[in-house]
Amino acid sequence: MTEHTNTAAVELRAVRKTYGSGARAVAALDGVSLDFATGTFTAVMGPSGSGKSTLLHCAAGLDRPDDGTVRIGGVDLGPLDETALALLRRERIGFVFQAFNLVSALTAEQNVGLPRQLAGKRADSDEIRAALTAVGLANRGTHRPSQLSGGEQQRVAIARALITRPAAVFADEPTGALDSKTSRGVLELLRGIVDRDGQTVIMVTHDPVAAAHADRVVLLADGRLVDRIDNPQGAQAIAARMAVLEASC
Amino acid sequence: MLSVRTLRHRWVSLVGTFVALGLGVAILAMSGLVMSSARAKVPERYSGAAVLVASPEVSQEDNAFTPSRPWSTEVGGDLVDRVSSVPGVARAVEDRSFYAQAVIDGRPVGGASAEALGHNWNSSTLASYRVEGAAPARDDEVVLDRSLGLAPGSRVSLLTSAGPSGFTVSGTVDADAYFVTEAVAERLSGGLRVIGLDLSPGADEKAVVAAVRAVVGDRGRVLSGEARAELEVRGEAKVRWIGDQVLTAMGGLGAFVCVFMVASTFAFAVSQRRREFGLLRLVGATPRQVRVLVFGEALVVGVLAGLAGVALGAASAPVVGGLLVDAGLEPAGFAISYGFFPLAGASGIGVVVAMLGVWAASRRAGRVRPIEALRTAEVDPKPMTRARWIGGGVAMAVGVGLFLLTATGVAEDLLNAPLYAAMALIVGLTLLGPVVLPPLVRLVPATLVRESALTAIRRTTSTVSPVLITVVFAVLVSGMFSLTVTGVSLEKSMAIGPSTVVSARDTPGLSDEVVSTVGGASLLPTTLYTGSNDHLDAVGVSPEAFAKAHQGLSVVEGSLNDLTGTDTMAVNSPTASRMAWHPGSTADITFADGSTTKLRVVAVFSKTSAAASALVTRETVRTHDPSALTSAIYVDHPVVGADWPALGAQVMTRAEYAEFTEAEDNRLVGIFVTLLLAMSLGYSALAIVNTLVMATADRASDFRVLRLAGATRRQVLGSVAAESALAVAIGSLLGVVVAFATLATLTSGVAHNLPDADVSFSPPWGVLAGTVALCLALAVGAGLFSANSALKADRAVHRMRSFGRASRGRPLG
Ligand SMILES: Nc1ncnc2c1ncn2[C@@H]1O[C@H](COP(=O)(O)OP(=O)(O)OP(=O)(O)O)[C@@H](O)[C@H]1O
Ligand SMILES: [Mg+2]
Repeated sequence: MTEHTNTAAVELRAVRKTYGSGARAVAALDGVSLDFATGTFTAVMGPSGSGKSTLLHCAAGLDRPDDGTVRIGGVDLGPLDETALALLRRERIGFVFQAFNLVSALTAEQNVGLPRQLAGKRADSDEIRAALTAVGLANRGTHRPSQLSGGEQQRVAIARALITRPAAVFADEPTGALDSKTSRGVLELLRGIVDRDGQTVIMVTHDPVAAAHADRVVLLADGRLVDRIDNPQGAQAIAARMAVLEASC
Repeated sequence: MLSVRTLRHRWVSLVGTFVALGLGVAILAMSGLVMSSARAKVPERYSGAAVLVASPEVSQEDNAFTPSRPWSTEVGGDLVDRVSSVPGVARAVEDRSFYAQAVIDGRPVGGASAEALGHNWNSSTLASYRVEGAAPARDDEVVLDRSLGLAPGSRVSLLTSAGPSGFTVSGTVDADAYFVTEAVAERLSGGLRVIGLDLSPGADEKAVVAAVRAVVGDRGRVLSGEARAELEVRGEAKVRWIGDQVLTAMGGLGAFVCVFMVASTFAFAVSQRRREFGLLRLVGATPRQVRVLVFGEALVVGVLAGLAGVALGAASAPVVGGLLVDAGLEPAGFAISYGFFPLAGASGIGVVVAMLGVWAASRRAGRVRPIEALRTAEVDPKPMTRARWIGGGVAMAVGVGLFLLTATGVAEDLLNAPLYAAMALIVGLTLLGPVVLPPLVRLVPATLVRESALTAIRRTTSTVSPVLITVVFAVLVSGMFSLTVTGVSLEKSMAIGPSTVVSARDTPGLSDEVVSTVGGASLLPTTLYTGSNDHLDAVGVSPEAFAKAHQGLSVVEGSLNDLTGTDTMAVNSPTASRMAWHPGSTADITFADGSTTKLRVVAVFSKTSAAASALVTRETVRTHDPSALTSAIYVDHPVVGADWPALGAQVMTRAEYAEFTEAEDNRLVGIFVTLLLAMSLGYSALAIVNTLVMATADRASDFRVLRLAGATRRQVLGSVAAESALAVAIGSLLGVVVAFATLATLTSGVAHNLPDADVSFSPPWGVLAGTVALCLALAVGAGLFSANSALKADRAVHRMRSFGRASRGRPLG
């Protein structure tokens, strides 16, 4: 399944990624082509081991595909060296993961200001406070990650993604370990990034309720794109499609 | 700054590096301070003489601290005459030194180091002493140290090389010296070696020095200013030299352990922080920024540790200096002078070591890929990097190469080459740990402990290597000094038969009076000067000693029967070949009295069969070296009836004497070994505790999984203890192999150089057992302590909030 948009924030073309070699080789991504349009919210779903995380890592330039090309904002990641990739991530990409989002040695404020600091810019403390306020953590700025709950840590990561206004925010199971109320808060923040600021969000999830917040759901199985739901109408519909997919493999 | 922020949080993992570096800097600062303070000083005796003329220096290559070659009577007299007529020189004063020692309350004062305290009265004007009483006017008058408590007019017995004789105290001075008339001094001292110059008021020192140099030419050295320190007492120079050996060894060993530990703790810290670095890379840090971060932390640690180390070194220098003085490794009156360079140098080295130590680690940190922030399991993906292969291979090759050079006796520096070899092997084994250790770990029956040690092989390497370094150095240091070379020495052959030995007590040697009272076989050491600056250590043997030497020595060429009169000598084979001497050759020999005579070589004996390079008759020595003292007398009849303590002698059985000389040797060796052992054990203890705390704290999540899987607290702690013990076992095993291989090559190297001697070392089993026990206690203790606190912290966290999918924690090891 292929899709082309002129305003794609992230483009994947025939991306292949194989782990291991010989008999033990696992094709985590088996020729995936996909565009993520600017200002959209995409949920990536699929059974465990279907290659969702691998897709996210390749799309974000964290891992290099064995074959195919990945473009972010029109820039081909293939020829870029580690330093150039780092600069690209710093300026254009934000990350929110299920865990390990924050540098444990730094406070919430310092974590939020980290991309700015790495860019050699002075992190504006008003801006940082505003970002933390936006995620509802105005008074937790001086706390370290060990003093924050899982959901709070994720919201700090979102605040970090807010401050640099990255073109694309990648999230891997950001609500995996959260209760439904906290999950909703996180998802609304991500939705807000897209609606208010026109940023692009790509989120891997297992949860149909979470996926229902997206503009579009793409389904992976065995490293291939197998289905997609545009403008999903509620979690039920998504869950039904997932059930079909899981039954077929 | 990011470095400072992360550092503040990460200080626990850096505290080990800080302490290691701080201690290293402290040891360097301390030994640097002590060594630089122990520089030769202008002897107080010459403090008032602006310019001194000294007889020509001789080669000191053998570190025997041989006194300079004296002038003959004619040359000496001529120099005094001509120098005193140089414009600007008010007076030229002969300076003579000889053995003298007062006997007070029936015991000689000053002990065995009171070597050449007798001088001619005139030379007292070269210093500015406060004199009370009068100059010695008669030959039985003496001016001596006021602190002896003898008032002018009292009688005192003075020991000289002839024996005790009565003197009247004519005056006292504030110096540890005995001044007698010129005639007595000349008779007792042998050749003239120093002339002191009094300059006329207003004379230009530089011009005088130049003029005196022109007059003296190559017949002597003209010294002024600080250069006069060349004339320090030889005994003090020797003591200082020994002290320097200890300090150099300490500094060298300390520096090696420090570099090694700093590099390995940094490497370990980086491997534990891969996730953190991955995360930084994830949010946009470039590889360079990560490297700079790691460097920045090292710089901060380096600077802080440098400052702390310098403070500690400066504080401990006087203490160590005092210990060295007490141990007789620094001259009495030694004081620390706080120089800028030893302190700045040590702290600078600290920073450089930190930078070098972190270099490889920072490169590794820079190569961490952002995706590693997201990995849950932490298995060493590639424990052997190319750099590790190359570095380890080179280090092993260097170590083995040095071994071969040592074992075949080719290496010049037999003492240091094996040490360097051991260091290289330690580095090599540590770098190659990930390939060397698994086969050893597999010797353990399959268990959780074995698998966990195998999976995280780099962590295992990190915990093994401090044990390795501890065991190697402990065994080496104590084993090396137990190396004994047994040959048929002159002393040994003397000792065959005699039941009694008379030796010096409270004196540097025995006087002729003791020798004539006791009879027996006696040895009278002296120095023979040959060629332009060469010299031989010689022993004058009494007729009875000669008869024994005759049986004991293995003569290669010629015959000892011809060693008679005052114009013959026998030399050992290295000397014979160096000088191209054969029985029948004659050589010009200058003696301690400055006179030169032709001596005929009558025999050549093998190198190991005597303690001296040359043998002459006792008569020869006595004729030419008035100040020489007898080292020991061997008698085979009971010795009775003399006031031995007052004569500075003691009578012992042969066994007692052997014990006595050994005790003196062992005392020095003991100090050496204790200092080095204390330092390396202390250092390694720190390393072991540090790496085990780091390694265990890192495994909190493993412990959590174990606990969730139903393991009791006890079982978790048990597995930690077993893993620590495994690391100690492997480290000790490798350490024993390296240390014993080193000792064996050293032994073989020494044996190569001394073909007819019996060379052996006694394996230091006691030290080995103690060291392994210490390592075991420290490793298990530190592992348990840190596992225990990890378990506690974990429980606290559990109580605070639930860890959603805790089962996603790392799989076991
Ligand atoms: N580093 C790796 N080495 C080997 N195989 C890997 C590696 N990472 C992923 N794989 C394999 O690639 C496939 C895809 O993995 P991926 O992590 O992308 O799955 P996923 O869809 O994210 O699964 P989940 O929902 O469980 O997170 C899996 O079969 C996995 O075992
Ligand atoms: Mg995944």
